Amino acid sequence: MRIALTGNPNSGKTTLFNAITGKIEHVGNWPGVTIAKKEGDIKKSLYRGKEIIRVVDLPGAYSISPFSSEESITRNFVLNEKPDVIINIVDTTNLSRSLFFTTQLLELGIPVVVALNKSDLLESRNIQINLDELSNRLGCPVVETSSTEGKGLAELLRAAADRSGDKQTAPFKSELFDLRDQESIEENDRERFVFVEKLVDEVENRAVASHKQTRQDAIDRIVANKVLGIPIFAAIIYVIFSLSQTYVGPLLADILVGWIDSLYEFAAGLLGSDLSPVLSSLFLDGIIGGVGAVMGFLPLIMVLFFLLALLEDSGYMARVAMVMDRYLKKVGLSGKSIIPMVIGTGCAIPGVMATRTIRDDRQRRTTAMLTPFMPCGAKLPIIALFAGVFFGDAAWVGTSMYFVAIGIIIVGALLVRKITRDSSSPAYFIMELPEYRLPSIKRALVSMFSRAKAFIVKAATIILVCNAAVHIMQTFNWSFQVVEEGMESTSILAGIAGPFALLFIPLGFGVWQLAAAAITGFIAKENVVGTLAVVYGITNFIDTEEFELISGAGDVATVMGLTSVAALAYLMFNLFTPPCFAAIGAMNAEMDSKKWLWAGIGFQFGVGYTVAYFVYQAGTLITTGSFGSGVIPGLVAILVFAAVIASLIRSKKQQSEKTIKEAV
Amino acid sequence: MELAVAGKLFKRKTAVKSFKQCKEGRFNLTDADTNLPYTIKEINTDDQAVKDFLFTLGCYEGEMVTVISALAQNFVIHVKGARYSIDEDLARAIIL
Amino acid sequence: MLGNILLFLLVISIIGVAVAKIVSDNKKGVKCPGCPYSKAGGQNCSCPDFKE
Repeated sequence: MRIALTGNPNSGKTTLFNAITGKIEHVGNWPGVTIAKKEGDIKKSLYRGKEIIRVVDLPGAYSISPFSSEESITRNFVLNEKPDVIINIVDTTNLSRSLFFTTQLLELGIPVVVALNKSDLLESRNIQINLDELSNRLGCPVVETSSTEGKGLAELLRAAADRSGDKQTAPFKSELFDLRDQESIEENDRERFVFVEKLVDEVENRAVASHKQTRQDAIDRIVANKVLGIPIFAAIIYVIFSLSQTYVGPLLADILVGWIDSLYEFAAGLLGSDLSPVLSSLFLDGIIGGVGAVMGFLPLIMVLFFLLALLEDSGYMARVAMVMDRYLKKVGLSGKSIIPMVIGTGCAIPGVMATRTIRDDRQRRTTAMLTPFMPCGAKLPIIALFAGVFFGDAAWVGTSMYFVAIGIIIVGALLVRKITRDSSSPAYFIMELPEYRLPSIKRALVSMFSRAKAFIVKAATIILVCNAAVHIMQTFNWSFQVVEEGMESTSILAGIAGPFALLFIPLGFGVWQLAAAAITGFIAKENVVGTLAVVYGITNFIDTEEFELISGAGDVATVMGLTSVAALAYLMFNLFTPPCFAAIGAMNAEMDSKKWLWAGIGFQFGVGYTVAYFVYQAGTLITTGSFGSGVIPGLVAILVFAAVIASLIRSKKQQSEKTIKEAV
Repeated sequence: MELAVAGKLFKRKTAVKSFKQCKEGRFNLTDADTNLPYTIKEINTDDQAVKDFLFTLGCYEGEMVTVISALAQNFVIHVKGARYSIDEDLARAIIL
Repeated sequence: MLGNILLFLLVISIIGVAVAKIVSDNKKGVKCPGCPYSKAGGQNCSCPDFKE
């Protein structure tokens, strides 16, 4: 039996879904979190029946006539895939709007059960609802639920299971009308609303006139204030970042790394010194060392995701969209584009997928292309590594990376607008503002642990395999002999990475080891750290005063052979190039156009190269008085990049001038 | 004499004001006072999809709308029991 | 010698399990193993009719 969960955005569908299936799908207190359907089976503890019941969580919709692509998903599923029962989740604090959709669902002929969700808020709002009357008038069972508290779930499921196979009659009969006639559709909808209004009047007892200002609005006046809005947002981002990067994160990381180090020692002791050096090295440095180096950053990532979950749960996200809207409008985007970017600070993949809520094609593609510039959780280890090794753990390193990212995004958006010359009708910005609520620590913890588990799995699979491969490739040369100490440049890895290293000379890191690390970064950004650990034989990046170095050199900076300027350039290159393949895959899914995809990737690579070039060359000029190596070739490459963009802009300009001429 | 001049200036100002109103179009959401419920007269836009969408939220002719706050170029409005944030362009299209 | 063989087996099995997990995830459509989000992404890749 298949049950579909439908309802207005942010009514609690996904929370209910998680509660009854035991899954941990992503939840957030802002409209547009769920963008695709999710399926799961009901927990046995909630329902003892013979059949297995499958539940499908759908994105929110305000009506059966879709406005956004998420609404289309709901409509298509309900109309085409014919679920056995529909559970319509209704936010009890807003009956009049929610029931519009309900009455439409009731006309489909599929049995419906209404879940009056968020019932825990009824008391505090002084609202009373006559359930029986409502159920009578609608012609379907109505169950009071609270998905956050887990109340009423078993009842709901029993009611749903009972209804399977029933017939559903509609309380509001749409008169036969011509679907093509706009006016009669409007007439019909109007009448539907009248019906709903009457129903709500009879059924609901509300004490507070909700159109007056409340405490929520007072908060909004401060948070979305003309002057204070941006600084508040910047402050929040800074707090999130510094807590995860500078204060709480590294504290916990130190402990973890201590354990990893002891594990290394223990393993080394066990193996002793008689076993094959190749194998022991592969095991100790390649596997334990490489994965360990990355795992050391897990606490930082966990803290970050915890804070992000709190932020999403509070309901602040929708306000961020509102605050940023007028600035984003200046570069051709809208406030809706900020949400993917904020999510992107956790992981670019869900960030890019969140662009689905943007209606305008160009804006959506632009946002999808620019979201990966925001440093994601996987890039955090890279930032932390370089900040720690080269800049004494200074907080400005990381913070500035985010601001550079914002700068790049602004420039990128402007360029795209210039290139596409889109002067079409303004895309209106409208977004529902959910109620503020005190973020649930429990939910944030759940989210954090789920993400932590994912990270560990990722480390134990992809990163482990990559590190092992890298280790093997650097141990052997092309004739499969073990490479001597000091002869590393003859290894397979050096052979493959070498040519790429040439490209990076103008950027200050034309060394095969660094090139190799950057390349492995495309599989997963954490690999940059992992590969560096394997290639330079370092196991502990966190506590830079007491790390273990196998090669015996005095400090990581010397080992890498980079000046601070070059290190900064390398960091920025890795941050602002195309993201990991998985994220590129997500981009591909959203772009829906090979042209845009490759343009996006090309742009990302160009930006990474250009930024690293300028940082290195300008920095070297400032600190040493002369340019670094490869000034001219690098400049040529960048000029080529700029020329391509300029020609794109000009060709569009000529095109539009031509059409104007033709029109005249 | 000065009174007459002052009178003329005063008259001119009011004339200019109503001329401006005429020019800028009708009384829309951007002109509304906060915390006062108004009745929507019309949704003035060519974008039918937006019109339909607003409808499903309960934002159509005859319904009540209140501006909760006007912040920079965004308005927080209250329609049918829910709060929304809309931009200036959309606010201008909601004729009261 | 025995020690070497054991170590070799250990390493191979660790890597083998990791590779196996990656392969089985790929079959399910997950591009980024362990990432809780990429599954949904893969799903929608194969259903282009969702885009209207």
